Amino acid sequence: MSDKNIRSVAYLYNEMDPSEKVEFERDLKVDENLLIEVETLRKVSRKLQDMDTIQPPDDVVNSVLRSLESRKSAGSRRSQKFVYFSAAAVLMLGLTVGFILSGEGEIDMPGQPESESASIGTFQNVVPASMGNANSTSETDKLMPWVDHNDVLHFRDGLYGSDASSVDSIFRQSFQKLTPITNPSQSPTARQNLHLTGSQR
Amino acid sequence: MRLKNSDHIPRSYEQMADKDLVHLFRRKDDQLAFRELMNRHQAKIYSYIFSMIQNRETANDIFQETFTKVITKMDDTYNEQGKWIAWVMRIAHNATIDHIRKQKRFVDVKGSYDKESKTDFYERLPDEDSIGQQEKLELEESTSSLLKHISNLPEEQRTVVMLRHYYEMPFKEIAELTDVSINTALGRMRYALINLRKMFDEEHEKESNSV
Repeated sequence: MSDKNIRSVAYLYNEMDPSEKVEFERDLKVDENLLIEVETLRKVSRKLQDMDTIQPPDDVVNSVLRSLESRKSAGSRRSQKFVYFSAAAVLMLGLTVGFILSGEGEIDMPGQPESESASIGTFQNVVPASMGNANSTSETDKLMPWVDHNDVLHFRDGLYGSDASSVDSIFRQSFQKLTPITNPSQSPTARQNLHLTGSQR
Repeated sequence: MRLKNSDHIPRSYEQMADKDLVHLFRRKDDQLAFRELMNRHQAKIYSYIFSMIQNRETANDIFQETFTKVITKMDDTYNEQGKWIAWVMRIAHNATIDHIRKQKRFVDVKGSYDKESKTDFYERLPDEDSIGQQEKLELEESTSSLLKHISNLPEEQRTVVMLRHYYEMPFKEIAELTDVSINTALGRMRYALINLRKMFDEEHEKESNSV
């Protein structure tokens, strides 16, 4: 198809740049065949302006509107779920924060510096009931509080298995290896050498 | 013709632009806004689908499928940048073309004797003439002669004519939608106009002969 033919349609449907339009109109004045082509196409195109439409059946339109309604109810269900989940999340967050805050200050070890009692407080929070039993034994009664070089006691989760008695014995053995600290601020080397770990070896 | 329950749509909605109605529907879930949009465009969209498919039942299905997609996709896919109707037309066009392609692809290759129907492959072939007649009747009942002529155009030409004359879609957009160059789209329009002219002339000739 020649460029002229395509241009005639572009001209007819006003899809030309102003400069192209001027150029095409100049061509129309000198090319009679082009003028006939454009006018013929224009005549048919005008007929198409009167093209009527067909309405969709009512039941089809109504079914679309029903799906619109169901979208709304699905949307409201989604928003209800969102509210429920948000409330649950806030509640869980509140409970967690409350639990953490209530845990603090439970430990009040007399004669200990503040930094040490804080680390021991953490120790108390993480140690389960089995460890509590260990604390009540004669060996642990003699045990003085101690801290590592970071002022933190390190325990591994593996220690808190279901077998409480074996855990207790491991702890007791571990405690026997410990050396009590009489003056924590003046014995940095001793602190570095003492680590209570969860290793069973 | 407008929707049955268009009486419930406030007059202010009728004066609103499409983009404002779309905004109302998306942001405030205003269903009246969507109904007004449907009122405005449903006939043209349905006419486009029907002229392409030429079968009322299938056209109904595709129309429904189009608007169901529009309703579900308006929240996430539509970005309110371009014209809403162009976006809807794209969905309608894709659904229509998908259907036409499926129809073209469907061939019954089972050539053996079918025990259930007690027929062979050739006996099971549909009677194309009878289907054509039925559809022709449907068309004659429901459309004007102009739409009938358009429905006789080849699919590519029909698409361009409908998109241009119903939606005043620029040829650049038509080219993008139909995945061809702008020159091809313009060329198809030209052939469509030439073919329609021939059809009008034939019709005119028939009428003058019968008189």
